[in-house]
Order: sequence, then C-alpha cells, then structure tokens
Amino acid sequence: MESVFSLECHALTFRYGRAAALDGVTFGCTQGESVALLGPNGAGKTTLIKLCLGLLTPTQGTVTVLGQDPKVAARNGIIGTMLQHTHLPGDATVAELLRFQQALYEHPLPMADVVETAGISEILTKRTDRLSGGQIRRVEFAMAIAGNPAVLFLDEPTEGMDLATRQEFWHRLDILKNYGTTVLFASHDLTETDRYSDRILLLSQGHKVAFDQPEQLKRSLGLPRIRFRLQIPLTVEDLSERLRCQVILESEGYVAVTPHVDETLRRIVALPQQAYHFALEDSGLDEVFSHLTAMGGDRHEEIMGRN
Amino acid sequence: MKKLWAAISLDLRRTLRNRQFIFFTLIMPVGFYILYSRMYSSSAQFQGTSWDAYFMVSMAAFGATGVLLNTTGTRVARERMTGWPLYLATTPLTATRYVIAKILVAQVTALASIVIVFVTGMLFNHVQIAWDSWGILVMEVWLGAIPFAAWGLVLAYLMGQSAINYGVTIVYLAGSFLAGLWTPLKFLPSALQHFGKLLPAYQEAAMAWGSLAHRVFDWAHPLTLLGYTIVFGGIARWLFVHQQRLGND
Repeated sequence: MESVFSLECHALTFRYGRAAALDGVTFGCTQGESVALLGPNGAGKTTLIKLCLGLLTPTQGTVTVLGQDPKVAARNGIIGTMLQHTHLPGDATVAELLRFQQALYEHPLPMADVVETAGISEILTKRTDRLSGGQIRRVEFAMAIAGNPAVLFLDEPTEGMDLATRQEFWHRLDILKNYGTTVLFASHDLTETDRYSDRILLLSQGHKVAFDQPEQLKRSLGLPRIRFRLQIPLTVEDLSERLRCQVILESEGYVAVTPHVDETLRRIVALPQQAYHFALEDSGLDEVFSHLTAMGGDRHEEIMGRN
Repeated sequence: MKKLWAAISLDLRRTLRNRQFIFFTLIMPVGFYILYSRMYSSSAQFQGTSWDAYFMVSMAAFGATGVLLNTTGTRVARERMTGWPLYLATTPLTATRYVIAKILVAQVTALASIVIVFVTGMLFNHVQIAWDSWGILVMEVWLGAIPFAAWGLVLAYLMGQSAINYGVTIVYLAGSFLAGLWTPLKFLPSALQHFGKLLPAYQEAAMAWGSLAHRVFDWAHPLTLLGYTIVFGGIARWLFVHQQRLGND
C-alpha cells in the first residue's frame, strides 16, 4: 500500500558508538505539512535531518521520502536542503550557484520565481563571500527551492537573519506550503515554531517526547496562568505559600501557574492586599518545551498516548 | 551529462577567478622557466636536446603537477571542511560526479598550464620542434600528470584543511626537485638519482625528454604512471567510500 506520508520515519535509531543520538523515533509528515523539530542542544535534531537526507545510515529503523530511500530521493531531485553549517563556495556568484543548482534538477523552478521567492534580486551578481549572514541564508534558501523539490529540510533556517528577513522568509515558505511542499525544519526559536508549524516533533536526548499541533501541546501539558497585580506588594515566597501554587514576579505584576484555576482565583480574590487587573492565559510553548524535555521520552508517551 | 557539465562549468569559473591559484600554478612555472633558461646559453645542449627545450618540459611538468595537486588536493580538502560536498550529496549530483568534475577541471587547467609554458618556450626562447612533436610533447606531459589527480585526492581525504597545504607543498616542491625537474638528476647524489627515477614527476617528464631527444619510446614510463594512478586511485576511492559511510561527505 502506498504511504500517505511525504516523509515517514519508523523506529529510527542512530548510534555514534554506544551512544544513541536518536532512539526509536517514529513519525510521518503529510504533503504540504510543516513540521518543526524542536529540542535542546544534543536532542538529535540535526542527526534526524541527516538521516532523512541520506547523509547518515540508520543503525535501526527506516526513513523514506515519498516512499523512497533518502539517497534515491536525493538523486531523483525530490529533496531540497538548507543545512546548518554549509559554506557556499565563496568564489562563485549567487547567479552562478543558482544556475548550477537548476541544472541538477529535471523540473526546476524558473529563475525569476526562485529569485522573487527568496528575495535575492539585488545580490544576484555578488560573490557569496561578500554577503552578510542573512543574505547567505536567503541564497541557501533559494538553492533549496531552485529544484522545485517536494520535501524541504531546513536546519535552523532563520539563524543569522534579522527580524524583517525572518518574517519575509516564513511568509515565502507559507506560499510554498500552499503549493504542496512538505517542510521539516529544526529551530530553537519557540515563537517561530509556534506560529509557523502545523505540528511539532519535540526531541530530548534522542527520544521523541511529543508530536502534535502546537495548540494541542499547550492545551495538553501547559498549566494555565493567572496574571494579577496587588495594591500592597507581597514577596513571591509569601504569595506562593498563600495561593499554594507557583508564583512568578514579572514587570507587569504576578503570574500564578496552577492546574486549579477556580480555587487559585478564589484565593487571590480573598487576599487582603487587594488584587486587581486579572487575566487568564494558556501556557506558552516555552513552558511546554521545558516541561516535556525535563520529563523525558517514556513518561511523556504515557501521558500523550495518541502520538 | 547535463549535471556533470553544470559541475564542470561552475568549477572552471571558480578556478579561473582564483587569482592566487592562477599565479602559483599558471604564471609561476612560466616565470621560473624564463628565469632559469636565461641562466644558461641558449645554445647549451643537454641530454640530446637544447637546455631551453629540456627545461621547458621540466617546467611544463612542474606546472601540470601543481595544477592537479592543488585542484584535487587543496581545493577538495577545503571544500570538505566547508560542508559543500555534504550539501551536494543531498542534490541529484552524485559524489562520484563531483570528484569526476574536479578531475576534469584540473586536467583542463593543467593543459592550459602546459600550453602556456610551451608557447613561452616557442616565443621567448625560440624552441624549435616539428609541429606534430609539439602535440606529442603536450600529450605526454598532460597524460603523464594524471597520477597527481589521484594523489591529490588521497591527500584531500587524509588531511584536514590545516594540514593540506603542507602535504601538497611537500609533494609538489620536494617531489618536483627530487624528480629532477629543477636540477637534472645527473647532478644529484647517486642515491637520490635512484630514488628520483621512481617518482611519478620524473616518469612524466622523462617521457617528454625522450621525445625531445628522439629516443625510442620507453613504455616503462607510461606503465609506471599507470601503476601510480591505479594505486593512488584505489586508495582515494577507499578513503572516499569510507568517508561517505561516516557521513562526512
């Protein structure tokens, strides 16, 4: 039976000697889906991307791209890549590199489309050793999409880009997704991950600790937060004791992090220090990230169940 | 073929844009040739031919050797450090095509290097040889340099970016000197003469020196060079496959 996944990993394991860089990771991405790889340093994100690209051979398990072995998929021009630490040849111009890249693929995107999508029209004639970090990342993005690949692998794609370039980058990636390109990207930026991924694959120490939509992850695991201010300030320790939950002091007041919203709210209202300016928030992805990566893989599998 | 041509085309443009490379591999041999040939009388005879013609072949072999070692050695090692071949492995350009493109570009550049030295010999030192003999000399020096493409790859896969310059310089300069490209072997101590005759740079130049002196073609030279190509090529291939398994290229 033909797989419904553009990218499919099953029990994927890779060991460097005895140490497992990736241990039994299973997941799949459908066409046009954007999946973010999230995890602390050493979680196995880059190893996973290298396995998906055929640059490493799995110790155990399988990985397929459109049903093909990654090496075959690369040879067939199905894959587009932005690696984390590739230095483009400094003695080549941007236009030369793009023409070269297009010549490698059977059905490349027209040059004008690549240039427009990556926003590099003003640097086409420049040598790559004369570009800024952000410009180089844009050129690498242009090269990744030049062959019109079905699946894009992006390792820390916005590293080195300024804010405006980042926003532009995600906007352009959204357009490609709408045309059916599947995207797997690794990132350390939780805000970008939250905003631009359809699903998040969270790794910790080589294990899959979560694979779900960002909203679902936050809902399942994050604790709600109650923001409030006090007419007469209290210390965080004193407040934590009175409210019987974790309290954080921020510049705009206090934040109570609690699984029992009603009960905690009642306690806050009952405080003689007169609480005001209430706001109830869901937890952020940062909290989910810290919580899950600290918890580890096995325990989370039990909690999430449905991955 | 389209992919290979794209790789060759990009690499050739990059090579010709590299001023340092052009100076050391295309211009320096010509400079040395002009300088050294002026140190002796133009009518001086050596090994059955004129010194100008003899040393022209020496410097053509020196230049070709340098081009091949630098292109397949230094440049491939540097690119490996930058991750460029790793990136290319994710494209339809196979690693084998990448290496073939590098060797072909090196051979084309080496041909240019040889022709430049020969044209200098013809124009500056008025070296006179029959037209068909020029063609034979070019082919002998050019094809005789092939082992250095394989040798360069061995160095590239064995050494890191910091060590490759030393490796290539030792093989290039020391190898050329010991092979008699700078000072004819007969002026070196007898032990060095024996050792020098084993080196590929000597075998390469000796083919052309023999043609200059109208000696009977000695098949030992091309066969020795073929042996070097097979040995170095085999080692380079083993290292290349080993690196691929480790995911380094």
